[in-house]
Amino acid sequence: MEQKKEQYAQPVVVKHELL
Amino acid sequence: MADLAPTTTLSRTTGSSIDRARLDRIVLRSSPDVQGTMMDGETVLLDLSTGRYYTLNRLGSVIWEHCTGQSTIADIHAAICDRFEVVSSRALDDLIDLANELIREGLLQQERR
Repeated sequence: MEQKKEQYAQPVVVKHELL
Repeated sequence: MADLAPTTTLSRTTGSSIDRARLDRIVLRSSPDVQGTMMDGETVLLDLSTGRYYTLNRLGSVIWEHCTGQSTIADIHAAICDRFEVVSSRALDDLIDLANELIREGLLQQERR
């Protein structure tokens, strides 16, 4: 039985600047 | 609640600080001053040395979970391809791009073994 894979989305990192 | 300035999605660069010829010899490890916690499938990273914080989306979080100093980049790539519907070459490009960004921001360290 073939394992169902998860949908792929590009990995992203977001930087947050504190005041 | 802290007031926050606008966020920045970090830009991708074509230059690579990770040696693609040694993907099975390089392990990734989070930097000592970085603490992470997962919330709703996303990861929040706090760099105690700079006071900055970062968020990783779902796949970024999966990659981060592998950055314990045990898995090589090749191991992480294999895990992604095994779990997600993706062409191998794209998964590798995205993985290396993200790792380079995290290294450049001081969140990750790479070690040869």
